[in-house]
Amino acid sequence: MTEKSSPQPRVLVVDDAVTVRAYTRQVLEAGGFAVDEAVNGIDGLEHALAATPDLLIVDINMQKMDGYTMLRRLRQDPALQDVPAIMISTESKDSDREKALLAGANWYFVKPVRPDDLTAAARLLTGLCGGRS
Amino acid sequence: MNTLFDQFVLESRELLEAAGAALLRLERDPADRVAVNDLFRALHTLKGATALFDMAPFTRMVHAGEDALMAVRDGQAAMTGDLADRLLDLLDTGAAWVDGLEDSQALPGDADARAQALEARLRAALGGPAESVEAGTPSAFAWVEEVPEAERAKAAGRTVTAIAYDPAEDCFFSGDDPLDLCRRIPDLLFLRVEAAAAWPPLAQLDPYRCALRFRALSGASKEDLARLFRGVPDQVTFATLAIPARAEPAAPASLATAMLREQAHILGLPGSAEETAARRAAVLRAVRNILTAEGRDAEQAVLDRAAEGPAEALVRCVESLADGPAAEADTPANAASPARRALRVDAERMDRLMALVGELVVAKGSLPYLAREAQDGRSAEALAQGIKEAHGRIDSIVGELQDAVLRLRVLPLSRVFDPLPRLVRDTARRLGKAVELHLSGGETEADKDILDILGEPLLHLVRNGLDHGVEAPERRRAAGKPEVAAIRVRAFQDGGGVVVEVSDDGAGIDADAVRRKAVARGAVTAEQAAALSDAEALRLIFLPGVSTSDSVSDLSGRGVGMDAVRGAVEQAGGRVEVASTPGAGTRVRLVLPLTMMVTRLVTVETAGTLYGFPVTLVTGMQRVPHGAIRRMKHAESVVVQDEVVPLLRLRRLLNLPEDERERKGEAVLLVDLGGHPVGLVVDAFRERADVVLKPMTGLLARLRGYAGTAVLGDGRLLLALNLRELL
Repeated sequence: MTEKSSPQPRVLVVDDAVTVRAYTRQVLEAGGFAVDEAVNGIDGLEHALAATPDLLIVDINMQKMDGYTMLRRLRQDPALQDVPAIMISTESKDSDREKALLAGANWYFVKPVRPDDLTAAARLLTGLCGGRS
Repeated sequence: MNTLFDQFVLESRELLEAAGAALLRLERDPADRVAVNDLFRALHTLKGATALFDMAPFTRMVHAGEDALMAVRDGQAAMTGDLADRLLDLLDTGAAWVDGLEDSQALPGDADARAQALEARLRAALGGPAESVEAGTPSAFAWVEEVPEAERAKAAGRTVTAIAYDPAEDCFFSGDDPLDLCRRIPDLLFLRVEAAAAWPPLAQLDPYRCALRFRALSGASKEDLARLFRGVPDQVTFATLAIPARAEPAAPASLATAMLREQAHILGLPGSAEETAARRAAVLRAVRNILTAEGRDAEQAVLDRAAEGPAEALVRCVESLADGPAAEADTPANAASPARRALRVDAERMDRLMALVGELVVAKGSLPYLAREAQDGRSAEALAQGIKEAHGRIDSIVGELQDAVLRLRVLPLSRVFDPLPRLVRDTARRLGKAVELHLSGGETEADKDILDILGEPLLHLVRNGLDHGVEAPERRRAAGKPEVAAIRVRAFQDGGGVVVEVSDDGAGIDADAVRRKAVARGAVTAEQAAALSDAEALRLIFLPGVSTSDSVSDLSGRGVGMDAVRGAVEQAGGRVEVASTPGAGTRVRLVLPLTMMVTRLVTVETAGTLYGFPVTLVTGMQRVPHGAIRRMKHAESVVVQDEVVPLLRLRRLLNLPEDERERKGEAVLLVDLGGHPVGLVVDAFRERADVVLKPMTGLLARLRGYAGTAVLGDGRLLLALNLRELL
């Protein structure tokens, strides 16, 4: 079941900071992605259930529902179980990384993330070819 | 692929080419304002284009070039050979990146480091204040080596400025704020505050005296930093250092590797059966996507198989995928890319095509009218007349259409001339020879396929001329020649083909040396060699392994010999001629058909079948009386223009029965096989024909001696012969 995503993979960005969302949107759109935004874990889950994204980019510390909880819930849903996810946080300790992976993330970035790195990671996790499509 | 990006690739190539041409002009005449401006404009536009995409190193590199040119334009720096070399480096790197971008939409992993290095070298070439990159770390900056790995990573692969700031003890009294100064360092990559000396006991510590010193790394240039620290020049020292790239730069290739490793790691994480199953699903999808993104679709099957097996098998599989072909990250760009498949078409030619199609549509309109006439019982004669007229109109339009379509593929030869100025410049510089390249006839047009074939041989011939033909300046002076040698590349149309001539005013080819070499290489026997005229001996250079120079140089000794030149040209249905006068120079001539789609053939009839030969190979047709044919043992020959030409009979070559007809003489077709004239006895000459040659297919493809088949206008089949294979 290789996910041959549509020409423009959809990325759901879940973060409570509007600037971070705007920045991430700008970087990803420049990298050829379509971007949806959600402001916290609950909002994120609702968005994901409404329209399955090709990739999730999730912040950890958010009000109402944090990123860990959101990912754990997401991984329990058969339809969303396998959606690749990136977690981004300011915490750089190995234990933080491990916690993110345990919650269901496929990759962990420490803020700030260079635009190139973010785009590259998103391309890899969505199978967006460098131009081989 | 998105069109904006395609446009970028196309445009940046053009800009790089334009910049290269302007740069060469500028180097020849450093006062050429137009060239400076052309070059500057090309780089500026290129910078703007790169900035639209996610390719900061590219932008930075071009920006550095732009800066250098600005200095030249404003008279602050001179256009030296060294600076030109650096700029050419920049253009080359840019061109390679564009090729890579077209392939993978990504810059190579070392792009950042290369951009930095080029930037530094450009600055050095500008003769900036001792801006050269020190190879090692000066002892005063030994601390750079001790910068923690995590901090160092930020500077890895970059040229940075190291700052050692030792504030004077009484600096607070002169209003300095050392910490604030350090915090204002642009592009600060690392900052360490340390005690200037061992700490005194607390009771003796004087808070009004500065006891600290600062060590910092910055991506900014020395000048920028000197400006910042202008108030304390005596307390600060700078060093420009190249921080070596780490084994794992944050390049896409290694990111993929790291991500795959992480996925393997995730598979081993603890959790409930439900949790691990969910993570496994996400990991599988992530790994598949990474493989797709990396163009490693072939390995999906391996993953699928492992996914069916036990958990450990999957972990091992993902780990091995992580170790996978990461090392080959470079190959896609290197694999002979089918470069420039896009063909730019002159709008005028396109318009002509459209106009012809319009005419065809109108002409077609007469056919239903004729059909109605036939239904209405018009006389057969009147109908025939009408049909003939319609046919005549359509026929002429179709003919023009064919021509117009061919014209679409026709390009000026200047395209293959473009790399030559650069080649001559670089090679002459390396060889220490003074050479002027004269190009003419770049506007001559030929089919794109012909141009593709012409490129390599042309480079080789020019390289050969530089390496072997043109003498060193001292020798030229001694021989009474101007010190600056001339290499001329000239193209023109001749008959049905295009001729490209490469000539030099060098030492010429020593026919005896060629004879000796050919004998030494076993290409001919000593007797054969001795029997050859000088002109014939020269043609020996087209045999494999016979080269004209005794020294194997790194230039011409690249395995592309004159035999390869001949091979390529003949494959395109052309031929090569060489002429040389000792002491005065050499001229090599490539005669090529205008297009490979339509081949002009000389047709002959033999044993009731039509055969064709490319017109470019045929040098003449003669009726030779029997008396003029000489026989030696089984070999026959004939004298043509004072030259003994071996005679071969096509019937024998094709294993056909002998010609039993009564006749006075023979029809002899004179052909030139890369300098070997041969007379071919045929039954009869027929007309010339333009045909679309179809290669032999299926079982027939294995037959040697045939170049292809073609259908003539009257429906007869023609076999085109490949004489070289036949003989």
